[in-house]
Amino acid sequence: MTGQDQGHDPDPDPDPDPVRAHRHRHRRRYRVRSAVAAALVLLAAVFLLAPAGTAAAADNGQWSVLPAANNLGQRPYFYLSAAPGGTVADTVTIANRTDQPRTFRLYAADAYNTARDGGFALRGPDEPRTATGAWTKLARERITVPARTVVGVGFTLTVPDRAEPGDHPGAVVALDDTPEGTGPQGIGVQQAVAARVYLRVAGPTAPALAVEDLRVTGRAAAGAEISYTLRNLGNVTLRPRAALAVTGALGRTLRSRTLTGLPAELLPGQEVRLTARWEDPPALEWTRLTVTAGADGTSSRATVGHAAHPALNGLLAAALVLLAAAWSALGAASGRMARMSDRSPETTSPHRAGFACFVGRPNAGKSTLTNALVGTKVAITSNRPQTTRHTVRGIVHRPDAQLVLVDTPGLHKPRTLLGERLNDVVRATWSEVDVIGFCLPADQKLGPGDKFIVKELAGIKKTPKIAIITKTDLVESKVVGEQLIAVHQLAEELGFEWAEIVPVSAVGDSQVHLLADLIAPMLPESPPLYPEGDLTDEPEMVMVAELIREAALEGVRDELPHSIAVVVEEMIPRENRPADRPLLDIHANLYIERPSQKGIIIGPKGARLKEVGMKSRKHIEALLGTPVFLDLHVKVAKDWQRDPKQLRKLGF
Amino acid sequence: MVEPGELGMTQQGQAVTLGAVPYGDGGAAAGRIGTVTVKDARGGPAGWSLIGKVTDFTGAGGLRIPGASLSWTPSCAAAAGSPSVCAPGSAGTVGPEGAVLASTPDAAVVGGTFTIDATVALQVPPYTAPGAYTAVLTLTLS
Repeated sequence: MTGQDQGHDPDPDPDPDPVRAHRHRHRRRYRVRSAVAAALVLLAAVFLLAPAGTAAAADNGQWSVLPAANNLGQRPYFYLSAAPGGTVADTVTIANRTDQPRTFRLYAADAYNTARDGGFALRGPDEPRTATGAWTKLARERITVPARTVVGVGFTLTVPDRAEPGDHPGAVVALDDTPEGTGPQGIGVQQAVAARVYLRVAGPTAPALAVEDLRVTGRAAAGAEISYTLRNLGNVTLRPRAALAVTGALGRTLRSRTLTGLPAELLPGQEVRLTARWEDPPALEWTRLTVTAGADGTSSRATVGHAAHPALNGLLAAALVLLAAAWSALGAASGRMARMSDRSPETTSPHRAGFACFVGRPNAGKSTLTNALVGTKVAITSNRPQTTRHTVRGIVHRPDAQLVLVDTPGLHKPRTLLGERLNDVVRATWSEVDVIGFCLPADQKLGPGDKFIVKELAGIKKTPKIAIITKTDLVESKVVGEQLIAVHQLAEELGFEWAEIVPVSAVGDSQVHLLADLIAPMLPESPPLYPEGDLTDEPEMVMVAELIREAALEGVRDELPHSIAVVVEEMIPRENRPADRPLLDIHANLYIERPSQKGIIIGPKGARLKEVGMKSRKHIEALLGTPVFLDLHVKVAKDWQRDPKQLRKLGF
Repeated sequence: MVEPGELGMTQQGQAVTLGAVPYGDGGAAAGRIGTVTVKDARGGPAGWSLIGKVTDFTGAGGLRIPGASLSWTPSCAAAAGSPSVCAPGSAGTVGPEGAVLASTPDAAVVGGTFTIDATVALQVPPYTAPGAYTAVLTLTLS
């Protein structure tokens, strides 16, 4: 027992005050419950129990965990370095300074920053381990250290072959997971002492820092609060600094100061939300706040407008554009992004219009991105690659620009004639557009397919090329940072530079608008090319065929790689229908490559084909705005992928 | 000759008892953690951080109050003559992801003896089933 119960012992002296006496009766009741196990007792009563004071002394003891002294002397932390595939061995010492033997659970943990203060924190023994925590093998997982004794425990740290270069901070932790006493009283406390492990895996390092989501709350008299997120996008631990600048309407600097309270170390992939007081915001002025953060080799900033007066806020609501999180992948990119963020929202520039296409390996997120930009389901998306057989155009209408998106078919190594034709379409598209966006999914490593495409892109000299890291919602920010670096390096190797490198999550809408902001100024000055309201110029029959194809591909996981084509033979309004209940007859053929695939498409008792028909009919009705009768037939076009005549028949 | 020493901590009393909250009203159940003493005698340039994280509170029959309902207000004082300045963590949620209780920065000369306290409050929703709720707070010094 920790003596904590002493705090709740009822006073043995009778108390003349009835209220206090009443309270004591309840305290006695609580005492009984606490003997059973209890802690926080929720009484159906109308008063609170007095909280317990500091407990009577029940010394928890003292132990420490340190790197074993080596020939360089005593080390405060482990500073280890290893190449991918390499192993280092070291020893941790655990000192028990008490008169009792103590048992500890030993484990290796990955480090992270706490969300609020950015403190150096360690994952618990039962949380997932990914880096240093997973790579460290201790000789013992549990150890009893005799009284007043120091023991050493050896460990090895084996870095996997494919480990990312850079810093992987962690620690070796000795946790006393058996707190003394009969049971926890409310909150049982465990203690752990750890020796930090600063592991650096050999290889290229890339510092990258971002300031994001800058906000101002409160105003004038009471003082305002500024909050912002600092994120480490690179692969090394950063020691960030930050400054706040406030500029007035005419760009004159009203105030500039260093921000304090930053974490000493911001670990790779980690972020911290920080706040600072803004003691004297001007009472009657429109101001711009800029937070600039830097660390060795990287910097970033974010800007936000702030209207002192609420009415001003309302009037300027439209102009109060939160001027974007300044993503900084690398020094160069960071500078460019910062300039983009600085763009004044009230500038009136001439109208621009032009074409952009997204390229990338199959399933790189191109169609999803098009949909997110256009805001309606236009290009056909599915979880399978190569669902976009046709050059579907989505049109983004903005007050300042019209962006015509040409969503190109998936690129892959020409395995069949069909593959070759697709690639021809892609190359032809590239030479005609104003901007090329290269899509790279964040959740997959830069592979040979990506390199093949980027190599081809390097040959297209005059067109600006943007690297777009897609699907950033699927991975941790650290992985996004690594991908930003990888794609930058790839272009560098091939002798060109991306006009922009932008991380986006089309599914989560994050950064999609920033992407449109970035593409718009790259388009030529021009009046709109399409009337407003047009979202695509694809003929309806092709769209309908795509919808059926998408539905047919969905759910067929591995059985039918790319071997489906759909041709809509006819679309005719049913005759003799009442004017208010029209019906559109659609006759379509679903072509497969081999007779053996027929069973897969049709399913047991035709169940799958029925489902394909129902699903696609729903989408077609939504697209055309009219009830539809869908007549769907499955046909075999043997080896149609290799037959040019068949290809032409299918519209390729 | 001055030998470098160690980094360690002691704590007075382990468990934290929280006050009771009336059933229908909910509210904050208050308490405080036992005073933690951190002694840093390593003599190096490296600071330390003391982090707390708390599990969900579980009651009879698997009833739960999220660990994020526990918040604290830490305070920290350095004993006279300590080279390091102790910074308490900011007031706010503790939760399973953890929060800083106290830390000292890296500096040319660090060390000292520091006493750390925190008041805690568990925000209990109204009509939380009556009974005892327990959780585990892990304090990690590194």
